[in-house]
Amino acid sequence: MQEISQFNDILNLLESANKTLESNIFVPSLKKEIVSRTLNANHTKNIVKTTVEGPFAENQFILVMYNVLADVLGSTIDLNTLNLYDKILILLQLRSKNIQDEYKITFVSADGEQKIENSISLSKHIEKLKKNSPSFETITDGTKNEDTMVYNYTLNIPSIKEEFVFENNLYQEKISKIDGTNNQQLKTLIAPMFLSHIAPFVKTLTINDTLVDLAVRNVNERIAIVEHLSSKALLDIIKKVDDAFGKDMQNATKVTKIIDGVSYTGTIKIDAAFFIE
Amino acid sequence: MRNTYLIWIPSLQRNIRFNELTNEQYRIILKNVDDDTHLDFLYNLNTIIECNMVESFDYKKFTILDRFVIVLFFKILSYNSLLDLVKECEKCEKEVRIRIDLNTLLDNLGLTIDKSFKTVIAVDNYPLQIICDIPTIEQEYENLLYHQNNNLSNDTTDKNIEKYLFGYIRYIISDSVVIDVDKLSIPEKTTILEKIPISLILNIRDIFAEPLYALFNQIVFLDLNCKECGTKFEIKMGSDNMIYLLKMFFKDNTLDGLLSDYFNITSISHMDSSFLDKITPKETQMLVNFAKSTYKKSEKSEVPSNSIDLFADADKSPSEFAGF
Repeated sequence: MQEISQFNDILNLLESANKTLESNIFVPSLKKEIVSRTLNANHTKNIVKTTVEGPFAENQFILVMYNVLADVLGSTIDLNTLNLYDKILILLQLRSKNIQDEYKITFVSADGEQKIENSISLSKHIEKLKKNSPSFETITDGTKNEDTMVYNYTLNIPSIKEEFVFENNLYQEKISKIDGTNNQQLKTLIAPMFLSHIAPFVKTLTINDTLVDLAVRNVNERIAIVEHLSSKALLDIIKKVDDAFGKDMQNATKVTKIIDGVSYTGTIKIDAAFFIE
Repeated sequence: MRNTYLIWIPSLQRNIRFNELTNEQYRIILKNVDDDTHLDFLYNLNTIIECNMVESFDYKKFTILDRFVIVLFFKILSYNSLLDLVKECEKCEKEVRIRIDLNTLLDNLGLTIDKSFKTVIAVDNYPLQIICDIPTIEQEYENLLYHQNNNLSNDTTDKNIEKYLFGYIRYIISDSVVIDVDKLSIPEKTTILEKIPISLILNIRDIFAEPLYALFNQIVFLDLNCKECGTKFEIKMGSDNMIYLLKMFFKDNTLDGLLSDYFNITSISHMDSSFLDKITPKETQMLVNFAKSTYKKSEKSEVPSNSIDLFADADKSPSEFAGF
């Protein structure tokens, strides 16, 4: 056996070995497969790290997974062109192909009385989703006040990069500045977190015939503008986002199973544990 | 010539002959038990192991588990198997005296760690395999030294995850090549190991690291209740506890015991301290016990009538003794 001790030779050996684990990943919005590099120990390390972030775990998981996706898909695709539904399917496939196809979830009966832990095949679930992938169209609507149109807006599903930019801003501007063990400080995060989730869906606003193209504005401006909408307009937007995008996205992680004639529903929770357990 | 004994080395599955631990070496260890960085403590301990080996073997290749066993034997054979500790109960704040017989721990270790842990980890369709094993004492020291030299904390989330995921990787192999991971610098090693596929890393966790952690947690070093309030004291060997336990072997009351024995024997006899340095703590203790019992005997016995009392004139001045 030949001993290799040069750092670059070892790196090259690993790079070429890792090519054997590259996989094809289906992207719903592109309706085609792209090549993904294998998830590696560095990704694992960063994913594991998010589990100790307590109340900020979700934010940190989004930031880490953006970097993971940029690393494994970055050479083949721009993450600005992929949406959050694509992201769900990509993450499901990364788990199935890099870690294990079998995934254990807790199923709950419709009446909520019975719980059963059962395994599913992620690849079978992904195949079903591939056949019924929604195509997200831009929604144009408005909010009226006594028959007078006050706001017109267009909504669409955010891109993976857009989500990252908003979450990163939330981290830089708010999360990194507060004490995660202080409940009073944590409460101040509720509004910014909510706005960071809803604002990326709002692409344009027309107020009194003035069109504001939010997509070209920076994150803080987008959040500030959405924050200043009337509560009626904001509630309208939340409902439309949920109807048009949220349900499809939730369905992508919902699994139904009939066991002994009883229908059970389970949810695939895509978080750090999904990639390390 | 010093007394020697065979010590069973788990990773090698054979005995290696060692010289016994001398007072001088014991004192060096005692001087370093409070070293928070562990660097001085481990450096001296590892050097003592090297010096005490009778046969030729690269001592740096001992695993940290081998060293644990060696040091345990050093303590038992060169001094005694008893460990007297004092702990303040966190609940009732009373002082609790604890006596541990290290022979019991030795029996426990014999049942759990007496094997080579070397394991080959692979995944389907991947040309490289990983050989995992317990870290060597060299790896452990180099790692601590690197962090100390670069003023880096070794106890961050990042480092703990790295220790858990990468700490046991010793070789990367394929059909035709071998990479000795220990020969890489710490930053190189981290960069290389970060490239290992997640499937392989999770196999390392599931097949090697998790069972090892579970095994270490089975080894209970101390398990008793406070006599006053019943609070449970438990110390498990754990994987991160090993250095602390090594220190505890020496940090017990022997610290006072050995030093006072040392002082007593040199003050009541005219022994050269270099002689004392070369004998074992156990022999020192025997000498002290012998001296004490002799002293007691001489205190009890009366002066025989036909003997000359050399000190009968002790209150005389020197000139009176001289007959002037």
